[in-house]
Amino acid sequence: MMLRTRLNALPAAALVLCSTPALAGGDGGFSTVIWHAINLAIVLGLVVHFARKPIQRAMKARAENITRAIDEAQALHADAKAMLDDYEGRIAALDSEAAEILAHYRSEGEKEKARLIAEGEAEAKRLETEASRTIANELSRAKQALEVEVIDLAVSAAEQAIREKLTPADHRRLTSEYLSGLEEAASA
Amino acid sequence: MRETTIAERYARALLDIGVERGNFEQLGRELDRVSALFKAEDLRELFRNPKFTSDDRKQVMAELLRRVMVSPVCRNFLFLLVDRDRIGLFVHVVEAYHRLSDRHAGRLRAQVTVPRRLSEPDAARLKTVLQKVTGQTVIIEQIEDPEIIGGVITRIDGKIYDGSVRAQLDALRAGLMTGA
Repeated sequence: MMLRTRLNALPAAALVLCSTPALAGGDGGFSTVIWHAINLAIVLGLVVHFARKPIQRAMKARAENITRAIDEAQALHADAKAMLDDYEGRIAALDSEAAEILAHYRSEGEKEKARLIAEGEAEAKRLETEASRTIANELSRAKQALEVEVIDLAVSAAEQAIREKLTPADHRRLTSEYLSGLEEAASA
Repeated sequence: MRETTIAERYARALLDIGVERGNFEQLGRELDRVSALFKAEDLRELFRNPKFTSDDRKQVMAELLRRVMVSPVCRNFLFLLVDRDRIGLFVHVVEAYHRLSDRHAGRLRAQVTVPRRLSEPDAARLKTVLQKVTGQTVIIEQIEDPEIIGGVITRIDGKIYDGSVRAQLDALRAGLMTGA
């Protein structure tokens, strides 16, 4: 407040001093320069007298503000640095974690791959065994069916031949043999 | 109730009458004569088909019995079967009657399957040997069946003596199958 009051007085003093050349302007030359120098000295004296302390205080306050601002800025800088370190740490940790996760998944992937390959091989082996068994069964069935067919044909051919060649004498002989067999069984 | 059981019940009733009157053998022969007529499919159909009434059947039966001489007991028995709607079982009744009468008389009936009828000496020889085996009087019933090809099959008293060519072929086939 006091600084503002004193600063407000400076224009009035400058006005008084500036008017002096006009008052002494009538002689010109060297005296004018003297007056100007005197005026300047007076003005400077007034300025120094009235503005020195407020300016000093203002400068001091400004210096303090600047110092405080610098401190705050430093504190903010420190905070930011700490935060940066924290995030860098976290990022580093994340990288490490990501690497661990990646390694874990890679390991799991390898295991899964090995398991799938083993399963695939086992399944392929099972299918191969089953196919072999099916083929063997089919072959056996086909062979058996063929054998049955051959036997049927052979027996049918034998029957046909017997029918064609069986004479009444053969019938009598067969009957006689049958009766002899029964008689032997009855005697036994 | 099974048809054979019902037929046996009627056969036993007739046999009791025949035994009582001493003519059960004659009744058996009369049943055989009527049974020979029943081999005609048309006649069997007439007695099976429900669209023919009891009176229709009685008329047909009376006509049949005019051609075949039977005793009053046999005649009444046949009309009883018609009345009771059991004439369709007549063939089973005859079989049961023979079985029961044979048992009553202490004899056995042998079904002898042959491709062609046995000669009299062979039939007599078979009868003799069967009587020796069973210890009972045997009656030979020959059944001609060309499917047995040759030889003889005898069924008697629940036993089968199979000496047919068909059996030998079946045995041959079974042996080949076992070895296959």
